[in-house]
Amino acid sequence: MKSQAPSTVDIGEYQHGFHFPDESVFKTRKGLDEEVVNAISSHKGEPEWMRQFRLRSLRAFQKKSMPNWGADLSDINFDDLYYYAKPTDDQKKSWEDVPAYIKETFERIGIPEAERKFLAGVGAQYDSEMVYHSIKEDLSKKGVIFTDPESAVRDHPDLVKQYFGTVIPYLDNKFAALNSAVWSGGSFVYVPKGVRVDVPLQAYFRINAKSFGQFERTLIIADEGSFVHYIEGCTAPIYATESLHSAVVEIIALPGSRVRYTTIQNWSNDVYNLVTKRAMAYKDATVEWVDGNIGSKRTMKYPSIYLMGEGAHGEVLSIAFAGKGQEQDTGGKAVHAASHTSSIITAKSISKGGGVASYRGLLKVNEGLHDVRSRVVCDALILDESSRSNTYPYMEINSDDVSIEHEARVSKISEEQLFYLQSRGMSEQEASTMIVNGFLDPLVKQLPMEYAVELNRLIELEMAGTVG
Amino acid sequence: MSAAVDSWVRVASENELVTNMCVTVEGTAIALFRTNEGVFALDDVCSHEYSRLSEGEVWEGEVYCPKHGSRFALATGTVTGLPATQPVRAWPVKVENGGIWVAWQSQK
Amino acid sequence: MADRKEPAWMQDQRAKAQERFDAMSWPTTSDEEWRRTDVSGIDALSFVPAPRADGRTAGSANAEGLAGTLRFDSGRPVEAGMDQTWKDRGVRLMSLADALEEFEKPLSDIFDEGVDASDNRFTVWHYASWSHGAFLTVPAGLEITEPFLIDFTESGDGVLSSPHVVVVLGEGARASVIQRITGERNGSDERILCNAGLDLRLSDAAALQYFEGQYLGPQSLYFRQARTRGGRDSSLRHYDAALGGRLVKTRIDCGLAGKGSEAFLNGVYYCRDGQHMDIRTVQRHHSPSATSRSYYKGAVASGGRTVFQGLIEVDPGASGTDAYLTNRNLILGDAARSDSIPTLRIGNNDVRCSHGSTTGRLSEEELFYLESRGLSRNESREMLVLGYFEDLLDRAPEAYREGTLDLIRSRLASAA
Repeated sequence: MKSQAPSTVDIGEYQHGFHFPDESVFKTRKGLDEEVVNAISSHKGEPEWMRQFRLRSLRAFQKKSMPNWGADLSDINFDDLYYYAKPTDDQKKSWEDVPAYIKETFERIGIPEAERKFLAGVGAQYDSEMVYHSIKEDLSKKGVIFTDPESAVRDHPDLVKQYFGTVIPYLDNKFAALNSAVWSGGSFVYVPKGVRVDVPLQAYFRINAKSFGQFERTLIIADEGSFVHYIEGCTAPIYATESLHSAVVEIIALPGSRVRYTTIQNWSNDVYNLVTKRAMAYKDATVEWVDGNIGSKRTMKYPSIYLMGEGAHGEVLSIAFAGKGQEQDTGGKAVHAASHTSSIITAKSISKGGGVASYRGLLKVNEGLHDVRSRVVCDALILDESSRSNTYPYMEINSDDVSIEHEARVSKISEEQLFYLQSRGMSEQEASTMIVNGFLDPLVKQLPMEYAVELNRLIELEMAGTVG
Repeated sequence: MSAAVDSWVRVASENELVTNMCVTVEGTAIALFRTNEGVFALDDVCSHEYSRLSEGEVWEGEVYCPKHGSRFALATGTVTGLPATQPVRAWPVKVENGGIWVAWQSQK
Repeated sequence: MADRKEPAWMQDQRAKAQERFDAMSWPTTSDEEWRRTDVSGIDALSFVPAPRADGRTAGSANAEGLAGTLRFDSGRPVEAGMDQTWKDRGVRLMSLADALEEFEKPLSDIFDEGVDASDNRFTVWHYASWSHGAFLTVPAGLEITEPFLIDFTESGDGVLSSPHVVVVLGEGARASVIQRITGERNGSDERILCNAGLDLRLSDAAALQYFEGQYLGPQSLYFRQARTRGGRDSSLRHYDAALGGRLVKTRIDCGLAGKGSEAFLNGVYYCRDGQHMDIRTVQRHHSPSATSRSYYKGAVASGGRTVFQGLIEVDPGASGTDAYLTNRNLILGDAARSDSIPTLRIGNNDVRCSHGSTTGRLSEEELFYLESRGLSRNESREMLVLGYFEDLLDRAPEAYREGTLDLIRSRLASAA
């Protein structure tokens, strides 16, 4: 990935004085086999049990077949990718190399100067030290662990062993197996009993470009009665250096806890973004996924919640924007494995310029349960003739004391609304943009303010067709 | 588990079972496993989706369903790992007279 | 399998279908549409076809209140009659075997399409080996208010029965049909494998109401593929009642092929202990400004399993589409399973498409209310369940509606 002069924010150094070995010594090549996996594990200085886990995962990846449903992934050539570090001389990239549309988007969305180069991956020093420092102290005092997974494996092996790979087993699907074999970077969060983390934890506070890695692995454990809000990604388009991104996010919400996980994904439009995200919500716990998919060439992502204990509640709020050349295949899953549980899935999508937005979701209720309620609502806007929208909801209900509702609607922008706004002096584009923002509003309201603002501006850009 | 079983049914000969195999009794598919701890029998069909546990790997007393990785304890059929959330039936099994026997209860 | 009497074109078709059949294998749970219905335990080829009907129609009678009748018993036509007025004006209701020569033109196209569109071995098998059936044609401009009755009584343990019905309406023609398949004559242990096909073709401005009822015995297996196509300004109202069979797998594929055409698909299914019903409706919008509705209501008792799969597909050229799909499932017991998969594939933006699905059980408040009025628990349940289905059957002919509700009533009583 990035081999830089020491970054200003390095958890390892700051907290534990650990140094990663010199990356330039590490030889890498394209393709994936046992040798590469072993090299990754050694390079990270991992204990044997994690190395074995990676190797078992590799075998699963090699054996499993590609999904025969979902977005079109036929262009992925697994042998032609780098799975860990890249040759160092390839890392030099300058601001000049960053595509114009990315630079312009930064400008239009209003990303601060200082962040732009960092986000564009040209490795400028991003000094978030001051901002980050005080937050870190506060967290430490409360006993909150917020670190990268490599450090967690080293410093909190018992916690990791207890939960890592239990929510998403390496056999779950081909891309989870891939991630399990070559994961690098991501976050590890542990919130102790009863602790409320008031400030949202953000991925890119913490580490440099590793946050935007191909194979991030995130594990969040919220102990009883705790609360945490984790945010990843950002509205600014991320200029990716590799085209296959396959992340895994596991969340364990122990009794009485609440976890909200917000993602705004805007990968550049050559990226395949295939993510497995799943949460287990125990007794009286709540998990909320807020999932915004704007970028990438192909995204397949279905944040899931397994309601394991009575009183558990799960919500998925999903926004997808599929523009020219894009396929967003997204949705959510709720599996009710306990009585007195509830779930809500709300998905809104927009397809424009030939884009394809598909909702894919599962609602499952086990046998012998009582008082299970669920509501799924999917709303799709198709903005023009060449675009498409698909809805594939699956409901599998095996108990009778349930109340399950599902609705989906597909339509275009209402002629009356357009006419009304235009008669008030707006151009057709301005009117359309306003209507689209209104359409997304109930979900955008759930985002932290600065994200909401940036997202609205981004939608404006997409509607104007000047992006990508 | 009920105290009275209908009958012991011989499902395979001892040397047929190396590590995993699948047998059928009255239309029900049963997965047999041999580990250092002994011989075990579970319903072959994973409680998550229609996949065969007899084709899964066994690690430390648990079988991992090959399709999505759901885990079940060999001795009890308890579900120990997602995405399955419901157990599978564990069948009492014994090895006797060169054969593997399952305590069968007629289904209907 | 070719019959001594069939015209060459039909023999060729059967051969073509047989070739495809031989090259395919039975569907497995890896095939998306068969994922929830495992047919691997069925030894389909052990079912023996009933002896081929000899094509001669026997007995002539037509009941009052009907425009025409055609009855089959174990694949043999046993009664055929029609109101003389209609006969004189060119309406034909006859055994399919008899129609092959005279009506080669519409039939060979229809069968050709059917074979080409078949995507699973059961349907291909049907086209290779259909055993008996009915053909109804109504010439242009004729408007017939009384319904036609097509009745199949199947029997014989281990029998394979493959009936096919074709209805063709000319421009502006209006007619209605009640079609029944029953098969419980020799007791509830009788196992029949009924592999049925249905083709409905509506010319421009034609209107057809079609009421189908499947009342096979509890050990029988029922597979049914229906294809419908409607031209400009045509109107189809199709009703489907699925009550019998141990395993039921049906699909109705409805094509809206003319501007302003409409199709309303309604269905009820009642699934009790030991039954497995997998029902699929497809609304395909090929032309602009067409309207379609699919409204299926099911109830599943303890020990039963239902699967409803619906699809609305809108071609890029089909602007002005107005399509809706609703599925409701009532769960009547705790060991019941109900899957609902309503899907949309929309390729045009100038549309109004929605679907809705709800699953739940009888309302405790309503039950309590009825009981407090002196009804027993069972009587209250019966009233609510029949009420649940009634709105859907509201506009169906009385015989069809009452027959279906009666059967549901008796199932409720025995399941209680």
